[in-house]
Amino acid sequence: MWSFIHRLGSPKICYRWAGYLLPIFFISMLVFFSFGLFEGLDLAPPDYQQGQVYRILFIHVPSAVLSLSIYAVMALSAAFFLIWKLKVADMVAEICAPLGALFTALALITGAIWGKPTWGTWWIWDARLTAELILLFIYLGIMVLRNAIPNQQYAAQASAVFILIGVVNLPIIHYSVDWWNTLHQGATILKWGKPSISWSMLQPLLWMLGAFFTFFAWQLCWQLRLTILFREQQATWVQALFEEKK
Amino acid sequence: MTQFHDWQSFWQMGGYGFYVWSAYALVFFFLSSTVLRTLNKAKKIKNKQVRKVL
Repeated sequence: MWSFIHRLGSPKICYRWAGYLLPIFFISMLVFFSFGLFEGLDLAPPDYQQGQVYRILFIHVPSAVLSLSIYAVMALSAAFFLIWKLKVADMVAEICAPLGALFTALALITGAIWGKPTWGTWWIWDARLTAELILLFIYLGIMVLRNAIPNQQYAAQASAVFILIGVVNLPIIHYSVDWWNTLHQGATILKWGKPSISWSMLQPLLWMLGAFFTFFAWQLCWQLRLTILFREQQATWVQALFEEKK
Repeated sequence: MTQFHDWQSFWQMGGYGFYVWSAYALVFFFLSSTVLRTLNKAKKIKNKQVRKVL
């Protein structure tokens, strides 16, 4: 079992696998975006209360879901790094932080743009919004911590511990709408029972969720390959790779 | 079935065009800049490695 995990986590094997997955994620992303944007901006009917402005939710919801999902991936990688000392797990955690910060910022900004015409305000210190803002600060804190420590091994360990402590914020964000009286609406898709959204609106939302997830997976694979090349530049297989390209 | 009969109503988005299009433009801008940043990183790493090999 341990040897299997170590073999799977070897930079050389991960580099090769990420290379196989890259075109699959890229093509899937293009397909998902094409269907999602066409259905979300043109085919989906207007909301009976919000009118056309609800179309912002086709980018806001995937950004918000991804901001949490990326943190979960990052936390898993951090745990793998701390337990099994896998170099690739640390690389994944390093790549996830700026991508997670990006999607958290997008969720907050698109939420504010949607909030102005709908709630009448750009921002409110609501439990969900505040918890999401804290998530952005956690992402930024992880990036700053990693850059502040010159020794790569110490930086990886310190940021992995920080990441695992920050996991406590994930259930707070998800359940904030149930635990507190918030202006933000409750769960629509990720809840027990039937989603409280019409299929004509759910369908483009699912396409866009697919598009955002494949964008993340594509970027993760691409950046992982680059990080492996950078960190393993002394390895004979990396040098052989460039010798071939020469 | 399409919800808009002409391009003008499509861009206007029922009077919410500014909000809808600025949100989509922002997402497009940030996702594109992420791709460009990765592309730039790829160029730098590959040039550095190729120089080393040469």
